[in-house]
Amino acid sequence: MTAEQSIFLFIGFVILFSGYMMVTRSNLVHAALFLVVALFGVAVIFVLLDAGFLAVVQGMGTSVQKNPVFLIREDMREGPEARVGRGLEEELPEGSQ
Amino acid sequence: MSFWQDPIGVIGEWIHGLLASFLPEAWATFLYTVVSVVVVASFGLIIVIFLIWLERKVAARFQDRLGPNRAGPYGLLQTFADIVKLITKEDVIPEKADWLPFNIAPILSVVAVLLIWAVVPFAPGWIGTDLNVGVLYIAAVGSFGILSILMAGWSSNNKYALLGAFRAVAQLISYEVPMLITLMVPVLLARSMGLMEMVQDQDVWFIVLAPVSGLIFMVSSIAEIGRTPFDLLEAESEIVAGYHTEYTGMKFGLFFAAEFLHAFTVGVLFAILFLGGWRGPGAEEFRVLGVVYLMLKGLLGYFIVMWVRSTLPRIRIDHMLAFNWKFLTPVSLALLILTAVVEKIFEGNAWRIPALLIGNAVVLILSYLVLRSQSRRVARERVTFRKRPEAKPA
Repeated sequence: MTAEQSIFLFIGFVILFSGYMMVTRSNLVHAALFLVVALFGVAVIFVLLDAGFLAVVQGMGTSVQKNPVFLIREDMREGPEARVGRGLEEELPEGSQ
Repeated sequence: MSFWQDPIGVIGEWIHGLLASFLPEAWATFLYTVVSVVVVASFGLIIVIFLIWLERKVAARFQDRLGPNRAGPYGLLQTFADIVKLITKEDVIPEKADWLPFNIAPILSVVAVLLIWAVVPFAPGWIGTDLNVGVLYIAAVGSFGILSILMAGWSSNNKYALLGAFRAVAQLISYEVPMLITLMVPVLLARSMGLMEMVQDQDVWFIVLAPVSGLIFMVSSIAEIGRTPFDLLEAESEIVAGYHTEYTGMKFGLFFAAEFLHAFTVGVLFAILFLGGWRGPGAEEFRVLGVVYLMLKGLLGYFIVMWVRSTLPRIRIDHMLAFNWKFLTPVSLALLILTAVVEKIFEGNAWRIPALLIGNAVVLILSYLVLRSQSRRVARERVTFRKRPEAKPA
């Protein structure tokens, strides 16, 4: 196995893992950070394919996409608090407010 | 090529040959690349030690002090003492902090700056990767610094840290706009996005062809590294220390080192894009001279950053954003259009340089006139009551 192949394997597993983690996290910021890792991994794949321009544009997209998440206040709450303001208040457990 | 003309090339070939003597060719190249990365990254990190000492000395001179002068000659060992202090400090992690982002953020902030050094042309032939989209790469990598600040601010579970991160979003992303637009001006002039070609194309330094663009690049870069007068993301009188409030010891040290290295990197980028990079007498012949020229020009840019830092007070957040969106962005767009048109009209013409200079001067004068009319209008508006309400016992 060459160096390139082993890098590809490793990055492939990283992308799969972080993609899975991204769609299963309940914390939106964690999901965004895993999305960043996954997209960065795709950028590395582009580098391996000698597609410099695509890799760089992918890298830019990676870092731009997570920014809106930090501008949405409601979505950064965790636990029972996160249901407030989404029409889910009545499902709050007793005494959590 | 002899050793004295290209020492690093000769040493590199020797190391590559040594690795290839007992490893398969592909793995030898891979290991050789890893070694080169480590060398360039260590160069960046070691230079920080010197930069911190330099900044403290220069800032002290601006404030009529002596600066560090106890440890070693001229206080040169002061930074080493500080590093030892930072390493031996207790490492405190807040109980409700988000462990992984909290610990990754300082590393990412240093890495984001070190990644820029991969495309810095030190001398003819001495460049990490001669990417043909080097300028775009710098823009892409630069925004990973913002990501590290956001991660630090959010994962600290501290309101002040989060406020600092929000300010970072507002400031760094806004100032990226004029910076990227002005980055396009050297690209237009050199007809290439690769930094090496850009340096080779600067028979006339681009600061001569596009002085106002250089100025705007410098201003937005200072905002981008978050230094005074744009250090609102760590304004200590308002939000404690901003995004690194909860960090202690060497983790704080990493943020600190990243900031200093970023300031110097900005100086080096300014030198490459506008001051001719490694170009200078004898640089083609002896490559070490090219590195010396680049470092001297980079230090000039760094000195400007330090100068601004120790001279100007912090500006208010609405002023900062208004300055960006209402002044820097329109002016940089006008300059981009102007450069594109003038370059096309005077292509290969002796009038190219004077035309560019006159165009820059016209833009500068026009923007000055607009600013002056604006400032008069603001001065006439009253923002408070003419007669202040008195506080009297009822």
